[in-house]
Amino acid sequence: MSKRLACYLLFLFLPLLSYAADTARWEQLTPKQQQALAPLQPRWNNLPPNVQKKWLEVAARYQKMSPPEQQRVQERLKEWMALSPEQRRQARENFREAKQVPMQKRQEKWQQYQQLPEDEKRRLAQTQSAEKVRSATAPQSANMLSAVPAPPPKVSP
Amino acid sequence: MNKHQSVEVAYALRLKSLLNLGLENFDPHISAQLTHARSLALGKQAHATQWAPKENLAPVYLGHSSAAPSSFFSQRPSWAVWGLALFTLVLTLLVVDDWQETQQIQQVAEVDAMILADDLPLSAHLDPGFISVLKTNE
Repeated sequence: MSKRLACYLLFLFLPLLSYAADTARWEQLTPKQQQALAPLQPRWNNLPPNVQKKWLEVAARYQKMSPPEQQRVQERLKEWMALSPEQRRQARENFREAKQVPMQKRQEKWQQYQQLPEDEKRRLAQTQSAEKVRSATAPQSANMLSAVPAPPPKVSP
Repeated sequence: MNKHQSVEVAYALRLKSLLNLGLENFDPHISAQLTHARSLALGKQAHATQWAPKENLAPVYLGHSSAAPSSFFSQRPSWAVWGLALFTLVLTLLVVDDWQETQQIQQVAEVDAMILADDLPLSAHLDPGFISVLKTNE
């Protein structure tokens, strides 16, 4: 009985051991991971485990990217880390909407948008903000469940 | 005892004496075979008694089912069983929480990787005016 109990406890503890050992130091990363996440090196060891996990996932996707994409990731990593959690959340939300538009059209519109005067850009920004407020306070009679906002993700940076 | 019964008793006594006569002239070979068969039968009976589930030997209370002792519920689980059950429950919750967090991390990582590698700069995805343009002229 005691042997069976010991085997059972060992089997149960194995996931706990892996759970506890999921924080990786910079020196423990593979050369490919280090290369992909090089801009994060100075602050890597101080990042929370779930944030490290997220960046390791990004590093895995980085390996499958084309060289121009990899270069863009390298250039933007520091800029991304400098954003506030709210800005990052906003960027993710905006990207999900922008993704609905084909890439070619998105680029054309970005070029056109940059030509607009600052006043017009501000007006468009205010329109977007007002629309967001309207959609947030819209009557929730049609579908109560779909109107419930999703909980904020635990992974911020 | 009437006459008919006395005749029966006399017949039985005579039959008994005849059978006993047969015992005295029993073939030793047949006797050995019978002894061997008896020991085998006794051995099988002892084995069956040893491995039979004890529940089968429990008395049956006909018509008093509520008073009948239940073999499962009458045995109170020890503290170790309760501890193990609690530990398993906590561990299951931890594993489920970890799995959910992993799913969430993968979703966020996917979006972040696409934003960082996108043809448009980060500032485009941070500019509410540009998103407004994309929405209105789709």
